[in-house]
Amino acid sequence: MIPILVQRLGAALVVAWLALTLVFVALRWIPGDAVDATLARGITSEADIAARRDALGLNDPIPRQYFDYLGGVLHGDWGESLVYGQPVTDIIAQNIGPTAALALGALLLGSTLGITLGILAGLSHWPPLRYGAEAAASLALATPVYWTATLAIYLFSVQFDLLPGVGASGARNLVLPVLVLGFHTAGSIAHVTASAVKETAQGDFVRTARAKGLPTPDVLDHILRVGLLPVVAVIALQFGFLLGGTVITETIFARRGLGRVLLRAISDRDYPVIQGVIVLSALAYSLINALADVLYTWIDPRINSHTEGR
Amino acid sequence: MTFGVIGVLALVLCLAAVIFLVLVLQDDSESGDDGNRIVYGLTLNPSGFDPHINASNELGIPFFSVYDTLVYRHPQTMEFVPGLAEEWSMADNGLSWTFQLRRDVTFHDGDPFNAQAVAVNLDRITNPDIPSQKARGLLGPYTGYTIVDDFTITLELSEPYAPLLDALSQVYLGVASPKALSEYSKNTYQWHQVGTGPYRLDEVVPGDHIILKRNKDYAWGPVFYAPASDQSLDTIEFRFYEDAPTRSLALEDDQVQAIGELLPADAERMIGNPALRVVPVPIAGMPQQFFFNTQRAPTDQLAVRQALLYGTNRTAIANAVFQGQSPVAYGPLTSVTPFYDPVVETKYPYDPDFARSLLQGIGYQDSDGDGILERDGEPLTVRITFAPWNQMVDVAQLIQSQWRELGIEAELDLVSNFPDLIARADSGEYNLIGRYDFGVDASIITPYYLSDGLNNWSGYSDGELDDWLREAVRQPDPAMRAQLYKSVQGRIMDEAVILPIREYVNLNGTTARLDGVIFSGQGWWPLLRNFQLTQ
Amino acid sequence: MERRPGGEANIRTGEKVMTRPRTHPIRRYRRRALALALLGGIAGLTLLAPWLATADPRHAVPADQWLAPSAAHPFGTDHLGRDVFSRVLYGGRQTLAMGLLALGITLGPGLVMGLVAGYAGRWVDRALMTVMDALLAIPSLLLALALIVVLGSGTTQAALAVGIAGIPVYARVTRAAALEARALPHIEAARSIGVRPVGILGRHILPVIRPVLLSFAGVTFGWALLNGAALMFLGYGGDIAAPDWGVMLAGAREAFRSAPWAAVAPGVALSLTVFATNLLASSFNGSRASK
Repeated sequence: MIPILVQRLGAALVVAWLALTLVFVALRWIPGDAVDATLARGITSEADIAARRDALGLNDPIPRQYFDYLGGVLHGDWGESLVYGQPVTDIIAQNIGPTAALALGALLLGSTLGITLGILAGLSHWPPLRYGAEAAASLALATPVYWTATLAIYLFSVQFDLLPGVGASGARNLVLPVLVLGFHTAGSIAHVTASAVKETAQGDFVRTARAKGLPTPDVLDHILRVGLLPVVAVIALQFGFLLGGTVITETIFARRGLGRVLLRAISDRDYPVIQGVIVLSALAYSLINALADVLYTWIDPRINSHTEGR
Repeated sequence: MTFGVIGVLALVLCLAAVIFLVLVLQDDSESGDDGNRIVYGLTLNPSGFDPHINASNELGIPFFSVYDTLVYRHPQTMEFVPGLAEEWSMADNGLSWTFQLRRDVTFHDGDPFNAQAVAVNLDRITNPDIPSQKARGLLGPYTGYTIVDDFTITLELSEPYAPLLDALSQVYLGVASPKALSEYSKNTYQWHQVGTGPYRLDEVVPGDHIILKRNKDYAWGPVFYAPASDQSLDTIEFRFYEDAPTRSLALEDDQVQAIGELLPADAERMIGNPALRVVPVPIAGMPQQFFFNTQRAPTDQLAVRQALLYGTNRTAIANAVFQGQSPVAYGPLTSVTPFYDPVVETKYPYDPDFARSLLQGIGYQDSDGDGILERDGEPLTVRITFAPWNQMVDVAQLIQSQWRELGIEAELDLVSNFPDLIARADSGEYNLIGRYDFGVDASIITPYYLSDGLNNWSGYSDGELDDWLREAVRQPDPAMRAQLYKSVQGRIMDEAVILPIREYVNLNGTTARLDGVIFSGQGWWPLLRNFQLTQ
Repeated sequence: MERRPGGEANIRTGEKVMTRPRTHPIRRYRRRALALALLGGIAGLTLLAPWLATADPRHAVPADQWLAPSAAHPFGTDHLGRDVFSRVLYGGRQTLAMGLLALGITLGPGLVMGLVAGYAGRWVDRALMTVMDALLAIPSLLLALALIVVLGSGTTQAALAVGIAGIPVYARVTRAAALEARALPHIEAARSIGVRPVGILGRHILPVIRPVLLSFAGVTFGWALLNGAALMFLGYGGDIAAPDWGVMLAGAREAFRSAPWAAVAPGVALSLTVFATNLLASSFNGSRASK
């Protein structure tokens, strides 16, 4: 148990370090940078711009910039925003709450809805219900967030004045974004659940149980016990999708959060902030998946014996 | 180990639910009794809020009321009126200005206001370690100061500088508390700003909100500031609504009580709503416009540039994109800007036939019948580069559509941000590029048209124009300046250096419960002191 | 390679490998027929756009701003008075072309890296997959956004960004399939008699894992469409007058209160295409599209 945990967490850290390096290298290729973005807005001279670039270390050789940055990250110093002059860790700390609330809310709704739809699509014997659930899941996979978000605002806020369409604070303002993002999360969870429970239902144990005439609830319990195993991992994987989804959801619903911080940083070429947000999301994603792996092994020790490599 | 999948799943979900609730509740901590309170929607989250350092117009929306300036522009007459300076005078040679300061002013932190405080501010703005994006530039040929006595200070210049008072009337030269400036670093001061204005900064959560509270001791405002009443605003919370379509929703949901830059169609629809009010504010400075690249074919030819001006139906654009709520622009300055010369309005009426004949005159013809004009087998193609702000996307598409009817192919090149726009400007690979700036003094256009100007994106070079522009900045006599800027505007349009589209109008929306909604002479900044909340 | 109960393979990337078809063949073929009919219909409509469209998709008629659907404009007009019907028809061309380009960019390197890693094993596998994991840890839309900073705005650049962002997942799926196929008796046999690796990969492994690759290519195409449209929606597409579903959705949003119909047609078209693609993908190996 513990060795697996250590091994997985170690792998997660390596992955996060590699992600950081890739992003760092990629970002240095670009022409134009944050100094052009901010300084040139005012009336300043070319000499001022050059001086500012120097002061920010943008003229240092790239390997030096990289090791400076890496050293800082290890000491909890993720650099300062080139534009805001604020420590990146502060910016992240100030914005992580609303994003986490949105992502968690969507994950909760998505898991509940997804598992329900999946069970219905996988096990229901009544075709309309089965096809209905399947269709809902497919729809969730096939519609882009920015479209459903617009429709949701139009329906719930403009046509029927039920919920605030946009806004940053408070629980009421969270309802629509969570609904929209949660709906999309449900799609893939439902698909995996459906095929997993369907497969279990066709397994030998269930057939035997049915043949013996065991009461349905027990059979169902067994199907879910085994069938929902892969769902745990898929829910963890959804975190990646959610972090991407918050970028658009936060923009459309005028919410505060890391997604908007990232979009803004991209248009300002604010390297330390882009790096910070991406590394954070890579770290969160790989840690959560490492934990899911460990949880998985814990639930079903059979897997352990088959595990090789990674 | 027989806990079961469902058990674990349920446990994980419950845990997530608990964290979720904690996050939501923590986010929900609304303040209690704040007196008269409104939420004011900001339309972008500037890269910084320190007026001495940053250049955004948006920062002045809250901070114009946190600071006082030495002088003010009267919002109606545009004349200069006393602010922190009671009176001022310019030396005969134009190389020094002396300001008599008020004696009854204190900063929000209790520090007294005096000549020394002004000196500290000037030192900060001109400090090369403080990368001032706007304030330093506004001071022009400023070289230093002399403290004459506790309440008299003289500013010295290396050459005469007519826009000095205009500069001093802007939020970027607001006077900050020396104590606060020394307590915080150049990066952190922006979250702890202290001035002498009618509102004090109470709380900042960067990227989320800014809260101002009324300064109860305030008694030194300029003439146009209303006296405090029990309808004055006690608390103002600023929140960000960067995505334009969300602004009208926020206003209609009563999430904000005032907000700027509504989409024209939303403002149009709002006009019939008795609970809301639309307050359009024309902005002085440059209009929304494109610079022609005079260094790149085919816009290096005057006839082509002129044909494009004649061939653009700007009225149709103003009506379709701006719902008729912005006037068509004709020259390099908008009509509310002092020294505006109405002669430009007669120069390029919409006349597609004349545009065609101009192009024909220099040899462009549709010889292969594809609907696009050619000369020597070379099709007439222009490349338009622009950033997505201010409905530029729609403007460009309408232009493209209009020009195609003339047989001109317009290639649209949307860049998503300012750095990309600058990169394009550096590369020179455009025929038209969208760029404009705002300011009451006509000298705002100088760096855009000087042959060696930092922002000369047209590549147009004209010694005579340079002389006029330079002289207009030195010349203190308004009549002389008017004459010079008249020549400047005439020349720019005769040479077809720009394609002006519309005069910028900020479409503000407020709840009808809000009275006294007026804005500073510069147009962007609300005079929050005058806002009244009726119930 | 982790084995999961019921013959499931690695689900780290959500893929199902080598799963025996569970869906009844006839139902699978019906599904594939429906998907192909839908996709064929959509592709046909966009290809026939020059003949079917009632107006020039770029031609703005300011006077006809925001007209509700009518006989003259079946899907109404947008904020610049352009015919939404014609724009949706033409828009499919760019959107689908972008999707295909992105798919191509994903498939090539993804396939090669996956096969090499899966076949070579050992340190090659470990090294390649660690890099892929690092990329995978960055959510694909965020990765595409970061790439667009490097590549700059533009339709091709957006397709490139989306395509590159898809590589790690595809490489992982291919690798998992190749790994499993390698263990099959006849392939083991081929290896033992010294058939060259390229021959084994091409002649033996590829045919075996083709269903998995095809199925996941379908899923990838669906993602490419959605993520590509997302980049266009966020304004990273360059030519904004081009009819494109993502661009149309973004434009329609500005005026969705005055003219909601302008958002409906491109949205439905996009969803329908992605739906059909996912359906097609699921018909190849019985498992449905999963993220």
